[in-house]
Amino acid sequence: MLAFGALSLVLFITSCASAPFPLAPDSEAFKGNTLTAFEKENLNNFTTFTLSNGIPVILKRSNASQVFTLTLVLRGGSLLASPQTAGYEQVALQTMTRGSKNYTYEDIQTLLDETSSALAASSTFEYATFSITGLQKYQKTLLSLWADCLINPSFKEQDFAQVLSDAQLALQSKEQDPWTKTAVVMNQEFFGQHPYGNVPEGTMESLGAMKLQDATNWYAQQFSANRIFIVAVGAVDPQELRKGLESSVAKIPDKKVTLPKEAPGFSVSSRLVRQEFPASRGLAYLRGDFPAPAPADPDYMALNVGLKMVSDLFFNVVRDKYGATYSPAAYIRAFPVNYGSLVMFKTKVPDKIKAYIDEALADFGRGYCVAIDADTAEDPSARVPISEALPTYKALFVNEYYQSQETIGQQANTIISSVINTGDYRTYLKDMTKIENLSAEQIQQAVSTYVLKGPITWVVTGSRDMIDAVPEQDYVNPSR
Amino acid sequence: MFRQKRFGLLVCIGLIYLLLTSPLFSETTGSNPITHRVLPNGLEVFVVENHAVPLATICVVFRGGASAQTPENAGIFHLYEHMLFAGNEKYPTQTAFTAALNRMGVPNWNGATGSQYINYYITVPSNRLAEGIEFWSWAVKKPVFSEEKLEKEKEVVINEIRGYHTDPDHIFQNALESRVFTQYPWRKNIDGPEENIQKATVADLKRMGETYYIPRNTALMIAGDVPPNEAFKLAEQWFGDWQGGAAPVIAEPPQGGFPQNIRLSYADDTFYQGVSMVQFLWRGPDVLRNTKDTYTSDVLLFLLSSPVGRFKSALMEKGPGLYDERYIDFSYPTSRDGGAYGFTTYLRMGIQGAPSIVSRTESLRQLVLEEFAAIAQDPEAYFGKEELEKAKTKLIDQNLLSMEVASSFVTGTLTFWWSVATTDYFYTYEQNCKAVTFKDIQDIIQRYLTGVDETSRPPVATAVRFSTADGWKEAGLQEDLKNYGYHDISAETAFWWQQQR
Repeated sequence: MLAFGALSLVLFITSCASAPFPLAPDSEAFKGNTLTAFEKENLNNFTTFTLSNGIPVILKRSNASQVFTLTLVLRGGSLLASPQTAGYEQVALQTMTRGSKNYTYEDIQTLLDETSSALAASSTFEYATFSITGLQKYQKTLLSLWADCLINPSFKEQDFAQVLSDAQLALQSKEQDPWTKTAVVMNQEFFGQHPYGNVPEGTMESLGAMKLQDATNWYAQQFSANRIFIVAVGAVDPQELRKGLESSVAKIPDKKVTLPKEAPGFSVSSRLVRQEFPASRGLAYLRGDFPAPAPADPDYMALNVGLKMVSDLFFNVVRDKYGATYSPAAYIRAFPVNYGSLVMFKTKVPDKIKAYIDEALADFGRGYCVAIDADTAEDPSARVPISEALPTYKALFVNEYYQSQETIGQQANTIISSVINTGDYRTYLKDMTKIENLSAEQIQQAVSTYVLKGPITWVVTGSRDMIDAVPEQDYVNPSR
Repeated sequence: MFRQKRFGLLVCIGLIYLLLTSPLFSETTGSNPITHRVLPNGLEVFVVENHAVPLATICVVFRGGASAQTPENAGIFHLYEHMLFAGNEKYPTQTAFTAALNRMGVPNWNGATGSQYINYYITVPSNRLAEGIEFWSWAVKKPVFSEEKLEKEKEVVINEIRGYHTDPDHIFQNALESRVFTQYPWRKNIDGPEENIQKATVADLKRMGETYYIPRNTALMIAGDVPPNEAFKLAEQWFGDWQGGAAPVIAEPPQGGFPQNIRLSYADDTFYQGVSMVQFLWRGPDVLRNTKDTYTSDVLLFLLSSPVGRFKSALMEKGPGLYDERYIDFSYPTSRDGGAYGFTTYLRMGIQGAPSIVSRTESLRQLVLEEFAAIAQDPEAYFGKEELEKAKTKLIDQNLLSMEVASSFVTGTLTFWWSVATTDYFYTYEQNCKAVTFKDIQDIIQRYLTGVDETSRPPVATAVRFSTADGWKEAGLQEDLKNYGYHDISAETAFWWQQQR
């Protein structure tokens, strides 16, 4: 009987791996001869199955280290919150890390300390996670702990109070640093009434009104199997994992929570916001945010690579030529409703820096980037056409891609992001091909559309004398 | 923090013998991904294999940083770090330097100046390992410092350090360290005064290069998807002809003991409301002078680490309004010079009818000392035998975790251990930690923290930090600050150079 059960399980897992999967639509892109060696190799390491309550599980086997991670992902995030309930999900999930029916707070802390493991919960705009990460040798013990916190959370008043206090202190700490304060102000100004404005970490107002009952209500109403999928990465045995999950998280009921439709785009205009920060004497911080294409958009990779070129131009012009900033950058994020940032981290000359930024952007606008040829590069002002530098930047991007896959946790995050952004956990495997296929025209067009011609909301933070000296017309009517 | 510094897989005595006697040798074991050789010019080369992704990290580490500074050159190590990216005989400008990095497809490059080391690193596709090693060889062996570039980089560095000099965390830490390490406070601060940066010359940089940027003061660390033999061959090919003098003497003579009765308070506009931060600091062991004590200290840290262990539970139970056991931190950052034990925690403020935070800080210090005295009286009874073994297992597990990513292992963990201690210390670390006994723990607590009685108690410095907004609402705070002899911290008096003007 036991032998028959084990055989059935093997067959079930094997068949699920090749059958259509809820998070892997039946796509021609992942069939037959079109696959690259990289894609084939990675696809072979995946196993997928569905628990009896409908929760999909994605396992990526990796023997590269002795670490494993197991993450429960709850879809929804800020999209399911309101200004009044912003941060509730994160506080509730973090309270769940502190106690369950079979593990007291003391038990959990002792176990985590003795095994050097981490049990963590966090929220983003589009989803929340509850994860355990540790050494492979402790996997069975840690899975039991993680699952009990999920299905039998104790929600004790003192645990809730401590988590809430920590969350409020974390918000306070963002007010203490001029750079994190810049980000807080930017989120308020850039998101406005957009659902992403219900920031995952909450606000002083929302958290100030939160009670334990709000956390337990959230669990009773929102913690539903139809919001959940699970991602595991490491040297994990699929059958053991399935057995462990089936006897635990498969008990999470499907409350048929209505999942939100895709969030609307951002409504942005070019403007400058001045934020006084008296303690940052002699230094200012500048950040400009702009709407960007989502990862599923054909422009996404083009803008990513283009902004790498822009970052180097910023470095060359703003930092090296004028010594006007300590660290410049340009990048986009990876959300279904996406946005990017231009950053000047620490500047003594906020009144002049926009001209230097525009000088760098103008070079790109003309179709040029920093020289990468050995001879021309000796002249700091040397430029080459984008098409000439493109192979180099593609290589850079591919290497960054590998670097973002170094840890088990990073691999899990990439898979989660792939599911959230495209509905298919495998999509990220196509990133390399997308990069290889980019043309200089696509890149120039993407940067032109979203950065050179698109609206940018700017925030400058610093002492009153510094921010007052920043000319508004440079930002409202830019010359870029 | 102990988290910064871990490691070690063991090698047999025979190999250590080879390490000490052979001019060119290799250490490795079957399960150990770390291999080590010393080139004839004194350059130490480490290769760490990890084939998770097709990338290789090349990291060059120099002993130095703040611990090698004088009042006159404080801050120049940091400036030098910036200038090493500015150009060399093969890549004469910053642009040429950056372009070369781009051509190699380098996704990540950076440098850091710490209190005990300076390191620079790049990550290249593993099939361009040879180019990456050649690239660093030019930067390290043949830097070119132009007056024009120096003046520009001074502006960048001043931008950076102004941020530190107005950062409340930095102000608090510097105020405390400059008042306990009174003999050589400049060995604890890497940024230095702005005027040192302003007046630095190309000649100053060259002098610094000739003294510290030499093979006998350097380690080359190569990690990732690399075959060790090829990596060593390339290291020999590109760094084998690098010449330099004897390794510099760093951090001699040693920092002295702490003065008695250092008590500081920092009313900080930007600090959290509702809690205050308390820090106690004791003079601890220096790794090359009190080597065995540093192993014992690390084991002690792991014995105390559990948020619900006896030590933290006792403080939470008896302590005067501590915020949370997860925010009780006892630390010992292994140091070549000026080692110190730190105890940091947070106190709740605004407790109805409670004494002021200063009065509670005084009580807490007494309580912490009593708890350490209880440990020292009978460590085995306090912790139990199993806890000592668990602490050693945690230490080994942490080492396994630190090896997950080859690049961060060499740029963080291995850099730290090599620069702060020695290669031998690194390789025998676990072995020596495993040998720690309860008697050793009793011994270090009595020598460094509690003394054997009141008369032999070592000095402990105290600092408290609170928000201006709610600190002054505490009844009796002003009076207690005065009565207990606390001195104010401010951005104008925190740094060593301000106190010497």
